[in-house]
Amino acid sequence: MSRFLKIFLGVLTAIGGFVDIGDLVANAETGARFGLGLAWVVLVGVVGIVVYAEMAGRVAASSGRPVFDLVRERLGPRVALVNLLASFFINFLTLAAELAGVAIALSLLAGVSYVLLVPAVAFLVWVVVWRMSFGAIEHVFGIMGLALLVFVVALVHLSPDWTSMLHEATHPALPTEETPFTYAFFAIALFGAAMTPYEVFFFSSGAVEEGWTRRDLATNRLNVYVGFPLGGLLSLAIMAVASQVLRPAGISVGTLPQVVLPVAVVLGKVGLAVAILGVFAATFGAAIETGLSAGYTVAQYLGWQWGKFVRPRDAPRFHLVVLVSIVLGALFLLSGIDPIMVTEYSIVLSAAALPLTYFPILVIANDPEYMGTLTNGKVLNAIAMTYLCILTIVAVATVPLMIITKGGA
Amino acid sequence: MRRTVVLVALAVAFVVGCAHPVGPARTFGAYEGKARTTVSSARSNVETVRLAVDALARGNSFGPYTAVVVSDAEDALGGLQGTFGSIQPPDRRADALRREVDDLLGDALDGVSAARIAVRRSERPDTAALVESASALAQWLAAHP
Amino acid sequence: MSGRRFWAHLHLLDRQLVDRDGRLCGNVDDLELEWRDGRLWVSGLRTGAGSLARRLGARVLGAWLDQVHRGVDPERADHTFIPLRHVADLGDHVTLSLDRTEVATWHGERWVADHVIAHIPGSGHASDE
Repeated sequence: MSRFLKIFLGVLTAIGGFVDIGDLVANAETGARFGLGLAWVVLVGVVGIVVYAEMAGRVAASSGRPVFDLVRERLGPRVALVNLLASFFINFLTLAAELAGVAIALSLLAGVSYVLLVPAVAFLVWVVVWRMSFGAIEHVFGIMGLALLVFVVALVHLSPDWTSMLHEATHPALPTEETPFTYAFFAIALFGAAMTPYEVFFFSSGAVEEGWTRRDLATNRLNVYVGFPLGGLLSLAIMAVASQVLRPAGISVGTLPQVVLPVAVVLGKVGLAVAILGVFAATFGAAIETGLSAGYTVAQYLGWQWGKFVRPRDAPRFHLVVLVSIVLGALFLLSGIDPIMVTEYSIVLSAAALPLTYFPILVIANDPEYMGTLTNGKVLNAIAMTYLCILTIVAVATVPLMIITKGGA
Repeated sequence: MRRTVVLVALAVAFVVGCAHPVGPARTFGAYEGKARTTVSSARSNVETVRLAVDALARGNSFGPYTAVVVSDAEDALGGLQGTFGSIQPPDRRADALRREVDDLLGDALDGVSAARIAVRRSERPDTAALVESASALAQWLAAHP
Repeated sequence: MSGRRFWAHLHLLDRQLVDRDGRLCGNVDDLELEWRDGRLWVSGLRTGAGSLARRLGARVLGAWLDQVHRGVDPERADHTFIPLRHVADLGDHVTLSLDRTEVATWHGERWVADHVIAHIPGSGHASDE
C-alpha cells in the first residue's frame, strides 16, 4: 500500500487505540464531578506519554529489543524483578477491567448481565490473540476505536458555551461538594489513565514485532506526536460531554453504561450504537494489548522466546502466560467483583508505579550501547527528567490520598 | 526474602482495607456525613434512571441498553440501602435521621424497580414516581448542606 | 573475539542468550567462577530460573526450580551449565555456538509446547502478516 496511506493508517490507529476503559471511566467520572476542572491533567498526561512512547519506540528501533527486555541487563535482576512483579500485577488488573469493558459493551446490546458474557469474551479475546496477525489487530481495533469520535460529535451538537468551558478548564475551581484531597486523588487517577504503563510495554514490544528499524523512526514519531494528542482530545470530549449532561443532573459515574448515556441523550439511537461500538473496540483492543503485555513482561524478564512473529510452538511459554492471564482475568471477574472498582484500582496503582516503568526507559534511551547515535538530546532529557520528578511526586502521594479519600468517595 | 513478602502482603491488606468507606459513625456529624453521601449517590442513581427512561421514551435509545442501566441503578440503590442501614446510629437524634433516609431510599428503590419491570416488559415506565423521588432526594440534600 | 576486554558483570550477566540460529534461549542468570593459577576465571554460564533464584538469595525456591527443570529434561541431566567455550560472540547479547535444544530452558519450552500448546489448533503457524 502507498506510503501515505500507511502513515495515515498508523496515525488513525494511534488515535483510536489511545482510549481504554481507564480513560472512559476516569474522564467521565471527573467530568461529572469536577466539570472541566481537571482537563489540564489530561494535557499533562498526554505530553508525558508522547515523550516516553517516542523514546520507547526509538529504543526498540535502534536496539531491536523492547524496553522491558533491556531493564534486567541494564538495571539488574532485582530492580527488574520488582518492576516485573508490580507491572504484571497492575497489568493483570487492567486486563480484567478491559475484559469486563468488552462484556459490558456487549451486554448493552444483549440486555443481559455482563457476567454471563465474560467467558465468551475471554475466549474471543484469546482466539484473536492466537490467530490474528499483530498488524491486523492493531489496525482493525484502532480504526474501529475511532467510533468514539461520536463523543466529539455529541459535544458539538450540544452547542455548549465554548468560552465558559474554556474558562472552566483554564481556571480550575473546587466544586463545593469536593475537597482538595478528592481533587488531587482524581488528578492522579486521570494521570494514571493517560500514562498507562502497559501502553509503553506494548508499544515497545510491538515495534519489535513489526520489525521497526531506524527507517521507521519518522513514522513512529508521526504516530506518537499526532495520534496520541488527538486521542487525548477524544478523552477530553468524553469529559466535556459528561460535564455538560451528567453534572447538571447530579449524576456521578459509577458504571460504564452511564459513560455513554449523554451520547444517547444528545444523538439518539444511532449515536448510542456508535458509542457502544467504540467502547467495544477500545476495550477489546486494550484487552488484547494487556494480554500480550502479560506475556511480554514475563518472557522478556526470563529470556524466553516471545512474540507473535514466531510460531506459537516456538514461543510456548510466552503463549501459555498469555492464555493463563486471560483465563485468570475472566475468573477474577466471575467472582462478582465490581469492574469499575477494578478499573479505578488499576489506574490509581498504575499512577503509583509510573516511576518504576518510566525511569528505565529514560536510562536506556540515553545509553549509546543500545541507541548508537540516537541517544536523547539535552532538551528532551530535561523534559523527561521533569516528568520523572512529577511521576515520583504522584507515586508518593497516591497511597496516602487513597486512604484519606477512602478511594475517592 | 520471606520477611519482605510478609511486609508487602500486610501493606497491601492495610491499604485495601483503608480505601473502603464503610465504617462506624461515632458522632451525629459523622453519621449525617454518611447520610449525605448515601442520599447523594441515591439521587445520582435515580436521575440516571430518569435520563435513561426519558431517552427511551423519546426514541433516543433502545430497550436492552435501558434495561441494563436501570438494573445497575436498582442494584446500586439496594446496596446503598443495605450499607446505610447497617451503620449503627450513634444517638436518638440519629435514629430520626435514619428513618428519614431509609424512607427516601425505599421510595427511590420502588420507583426504579417499577421502571425496571416496565422496561423489561417493553412497556412504558411511569416516570411520576421517579420525578417525585428525585426531587425529594434533592430537597433533602439542600436541607442538609 | 581475541583482544577485546569485557567486564564479566556488565557484559555477561543478565544478558540475553541467543543460539546459533538467532533464537532466544534464556538469559545468563549466573556465572561459574573457578580458581586457577591464583586468579578467578569465568568457567562458564549458568542459565535457568533456578540459577537466578539462587543468585538472588532464594535458595529454597532455586533448588525447587532446578528440580522442575531436571524433571522435564529427558536425560534428567543438569543442562543449566554452559561452558565458556560455547560462547561464540559477545555484543549486546551473548551468542552461543550451540543450538537452543542444548540449553537448559529448551526442555521447559519443549514440555509446554508438547503438553499444552500442541493441543491447540493452529500452533504450527505464525499468524500471517
